[in-house]
Amino acid sequence: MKLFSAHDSRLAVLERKVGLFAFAGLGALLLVFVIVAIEQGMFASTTKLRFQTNDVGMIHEGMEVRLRGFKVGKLLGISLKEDGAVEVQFFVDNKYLLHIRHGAKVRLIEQGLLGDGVLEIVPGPTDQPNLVVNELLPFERQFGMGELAHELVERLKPILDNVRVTTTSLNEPDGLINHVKKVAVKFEKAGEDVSSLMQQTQGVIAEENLKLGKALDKSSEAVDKVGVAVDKVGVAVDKAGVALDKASTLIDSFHDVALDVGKVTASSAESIPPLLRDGRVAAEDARNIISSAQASWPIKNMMEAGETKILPMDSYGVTNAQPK
Amino acid sequence: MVLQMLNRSNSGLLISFCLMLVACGSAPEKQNFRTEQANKLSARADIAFLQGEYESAKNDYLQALRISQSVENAAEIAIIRFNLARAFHELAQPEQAHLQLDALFSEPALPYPPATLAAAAALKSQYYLEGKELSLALSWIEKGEGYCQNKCPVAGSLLLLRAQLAQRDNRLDEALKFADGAAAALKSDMQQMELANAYRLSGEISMAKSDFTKAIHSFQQAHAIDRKLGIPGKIRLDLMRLGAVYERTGEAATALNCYARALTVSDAMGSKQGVDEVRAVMKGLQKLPEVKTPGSQ
Repeated sequence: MKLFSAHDSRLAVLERKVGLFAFAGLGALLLVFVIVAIEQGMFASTTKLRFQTNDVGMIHEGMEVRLRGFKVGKLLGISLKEDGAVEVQFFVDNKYLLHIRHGAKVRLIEQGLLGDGVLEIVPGPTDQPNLVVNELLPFERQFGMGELAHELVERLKPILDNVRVTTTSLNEPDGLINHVKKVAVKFEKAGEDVSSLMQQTQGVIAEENLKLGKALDKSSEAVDKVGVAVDKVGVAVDKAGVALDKASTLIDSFHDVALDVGKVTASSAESIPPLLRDGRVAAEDARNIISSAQASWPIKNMMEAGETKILPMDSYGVTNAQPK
Repeated sequence: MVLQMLNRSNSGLLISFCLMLVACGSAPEKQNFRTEQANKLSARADIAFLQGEYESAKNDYLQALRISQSVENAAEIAIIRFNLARAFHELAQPEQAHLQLDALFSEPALPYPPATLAAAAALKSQYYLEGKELSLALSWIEKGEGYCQNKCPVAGSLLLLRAQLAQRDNRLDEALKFADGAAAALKSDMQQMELANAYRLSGEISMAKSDFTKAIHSFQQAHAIDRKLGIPGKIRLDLMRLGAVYERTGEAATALNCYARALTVSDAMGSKQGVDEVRAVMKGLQKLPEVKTPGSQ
């Protein structure tokens, strides 16, 4: 018995065509692999560098190394040295090495509120010599959102104490002056700026329900104190009528307070809102991805719905254990 | 040759398709909306209960119960009634607690899971034991054992109840056997609270039998678990028991140290009654002439 192909010569042509098609497919696949490998920098000429840290938190193998926002390398490995220090090896593409000179440092930047990080190279001065292979670069961490908020609270504390002392003096029966009014208006504006900043920050945090809640609660209390202080100033100013010896001291004090609050407001306004924006975008992205995944087959079917559970038995000692 | 290749690839496709079908078939059945809603309420109530917010737990359980009843979900109804009974008991409404449990054993009876019925029977027994109605407690233990057949999760709790009954009848050897049996039956990972109870009871019975070494060991085991679970009331109880056993062995300084720790815990709990109780015990101990307090050099 002969094969069917022996009867029909067209099948011989078909066989060649299928073979050709398969080879073309394989070739295309190979090409894609090569392109991806090139994109990933597998064939690029690189230089290995390293840095040391005492905490490996947020650092992981394969994380990106950037220079001015460009991806220039990748983290190769992390090892624990005998002295307890953590040594991190990474490589940088040689074509970017020209921009990184001796004196450069590596900074871990926390991207947004979700806490993913990248390693950013801060290039050294251009007049410095080039880096050598395996050179040890200094390492630093940029403040994350939590630390920033705590720092803000810490910086506000002494200012608010100053406000409290000053307003207490103002409320004294003999401590009121007309000139205070002008300064108080300035102070009130500064207070409003802080309040607005904090409310904006707190609003975003509440919306995203993320880790800064606690820290900002403290800030909120601080802002409330500013509000009370400002109110007190208002009352005091209304009562103002007689100029006293303490006038100049009080004015100076208020001036300092207004300046301090203004400085904090300005510096915070620069650093916090962009980070919050990043965090919000990242959180929204993550939420979208998670909700999409949850809604998609087959994950949707695999998601285990919560079950009603029996409370753990406690058949001895409840009454005795909980003296009211 | 081409046909052979095609046949082979077709078989591969067919196998892949079958595997995919099998994989799809293994996905768990999706719960209906009402069951999900009841589960959510029940989970919220569990959290409220464990945080001591019994009124809120009761309200959520009642809502969850209504939803489960509307769809005749027998397993859920049984669990929720059990949990609701616990909430009513904590709210000092024992009649309501019993009503919830009785509903599981009266008509119209749904096909409730035997394990949950065993747990409900154990709970009824516990409440009767607390109310010093020992014969009723025993009858509910027996009922629970009937449902449990020594293989349900509350098998250890039923043994613990039997141990308490025997202890009250001063049948100490039997009580110790039951308590140790309960400790062996309870799973150390899933039923830690009950395991600590078993060790504590075993310690108390050992102390009554003047086996102080075993008593100390048992109380220490109970204390370690309760500390791990973070239950101040029970930590205090363990320390009091440890103090008592050291007092019996004549190690007054160690006993006083345990009482002092119990006092700190009671104070931190904000329990005035607890503080007074510990102070009274400490005062009694300090009156003994040979006592040396840790700080009195």
